[in-house]
Amino acid sequence: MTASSTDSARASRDAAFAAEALPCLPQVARFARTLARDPSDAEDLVQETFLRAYDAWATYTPGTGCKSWLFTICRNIYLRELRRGARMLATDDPEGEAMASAGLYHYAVERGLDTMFDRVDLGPAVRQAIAALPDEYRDVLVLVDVQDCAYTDAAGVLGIPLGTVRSRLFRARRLLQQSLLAFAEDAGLVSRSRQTVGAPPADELEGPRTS
Amino acid sequence: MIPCIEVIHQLWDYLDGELSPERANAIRSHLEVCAGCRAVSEYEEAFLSTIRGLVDDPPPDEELRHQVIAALERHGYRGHTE
Repeated sequence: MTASSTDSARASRDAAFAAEALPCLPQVARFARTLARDPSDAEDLVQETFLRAYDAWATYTPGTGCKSWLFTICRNIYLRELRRGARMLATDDPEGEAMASAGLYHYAVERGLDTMFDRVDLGPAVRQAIAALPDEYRDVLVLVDVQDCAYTDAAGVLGIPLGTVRSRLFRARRLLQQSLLAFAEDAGLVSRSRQTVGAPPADELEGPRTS
Repeated sequence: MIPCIEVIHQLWDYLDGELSPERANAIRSHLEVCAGCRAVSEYEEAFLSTIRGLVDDPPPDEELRHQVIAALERHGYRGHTE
């Protein structure tokens, strides 16, 4: 290959990278912030993600979902840097989780909290509750509910089966709902005479415990 | 009409747009006539709107963008001329 053809190939690659990968920087930065939490670590993670992506650009097929591809790289770097093992939760009961969420609705009705999402600014409480979720649940919830990924895309990014995406997502939502109900009660949004302290009792609300 | 238990089992999939059109129609038809399931569905929808309304957190500042491009350029990238 001549020098000019090498330059031409590189220019073509760089142009494609600029057109398809760099526009995803805001989403990757947001995703990195949810993974790393510390802002400085998140910025390092973003930078490393784009360097790896640039090196691996030849393995990417243009037009096949650059955002998901970058999320995958980002998460892999994060996991590697954490030196975390391939711990998998034995959680595979999405229907049980859905039932448990419906149970939370009835709990909310009993305590006059069923309209809390419409009448109270829960933003800070939601952010805090998302940050407190175990990584496995937080990752899938952020991908689907914040980054608007389809279940299959989330499964690809996380390298887990579709059924596991569903079960983790549904459990993450239930855990969030429990946290928000506890927050609403602690904030005095319900009659104190009917209030229970802290999170709703597990045996009353939760689906089968699987972990 | 499909039973309530099936609707509740698949409510999240339905709200996320993950069901087949036929299955989604069956659940939609159920929700139209079943006040109990509809109330649960509306509660879950309000919950999802609360989470999804938080996506408008601030975008990364220009400094991060410049840092990334500078790192890429040190790596051989020549796609940016700004």
